[in-house]
Amino acid sequence: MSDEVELKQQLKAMIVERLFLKVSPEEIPDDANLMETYGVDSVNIFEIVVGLEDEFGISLAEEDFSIEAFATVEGIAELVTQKRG
Amino acid sequence: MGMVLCDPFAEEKKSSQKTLAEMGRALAEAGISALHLDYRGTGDSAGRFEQFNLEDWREDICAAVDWVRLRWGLGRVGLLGLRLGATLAAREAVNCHACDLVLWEPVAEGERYARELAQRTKIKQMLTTGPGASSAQQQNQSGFLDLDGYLVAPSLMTQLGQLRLAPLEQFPQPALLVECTARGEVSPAAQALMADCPLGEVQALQMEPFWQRIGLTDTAPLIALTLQWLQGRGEGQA
Repeated sequence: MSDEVELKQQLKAMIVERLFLKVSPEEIPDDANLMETYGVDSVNIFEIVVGLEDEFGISLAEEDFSIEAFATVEGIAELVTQKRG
Repeated sequence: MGMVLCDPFAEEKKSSQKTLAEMGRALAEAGISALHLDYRGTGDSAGRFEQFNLEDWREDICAAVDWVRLRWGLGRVGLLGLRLGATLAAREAVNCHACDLVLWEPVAEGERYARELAQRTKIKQMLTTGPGASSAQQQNQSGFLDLDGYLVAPSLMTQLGQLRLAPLEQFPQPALLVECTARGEVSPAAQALMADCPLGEVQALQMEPFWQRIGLTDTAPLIALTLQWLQGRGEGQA
């Protein structure tokens, strides 16, 4: 399994757990819009941010916050990869 | 026996009012007098939010404990706080001779908390008005930071940033720390906070962060756990 695929799986598991979603991580497509498909709102995005900092060891700066970055698992994975440098 | 309920900060206070009111009612029904405090500048208390700081609110907690003792003639008065309210309660518990201490999800590291407050505001702006203003742009001409309509003075942000919850080793009375997390597991950080508290206990519940949403989370398990613990502590005491 590639690092990218593994990262996305870990992100999906974190999102399902922290947001108490009633789906399994495997059911979330990489490119599904989280807000439109799962009703993710500002409180949920904040929980994702806390999860990224706690479980993925990255720290987010102001310029990291954009709708594109948090709209899909793909976007979040790109952000994590970029922050890990 | 009486309990003083200590609110969290800003938006978290608004989101948690229902739960704290229900906790107060549950205490009263169980024969435990409860005072739900509005710090100065918040809720129904006098003054504007931006006029006060953490020192003022710590004083308010002790004043509320004294008030309960004197006005209600209760010898045994404890503190229950949520988030920042828990942190302030923990810091004042010895000073105001609290007999029981209940901490719901205390803010342990002020620096991180201050950063999270800014992040939350940024995310809301991102979803409602696009990229939103930078932190610098969120500050008005007097240097006050606008957090979802709460004007926070620079001095208060500094105080929040410096806040740190020390282990409760000097608190000699029964204390309960409750964590509400996705996994429902006690964290090492919470265990460390209570490790040297002689009568301290840590419990965890699998629960959404109800202090971030208005009225959508069932907090009955948290209220029941707290009440059960307090009643257990009260057995055989005046």
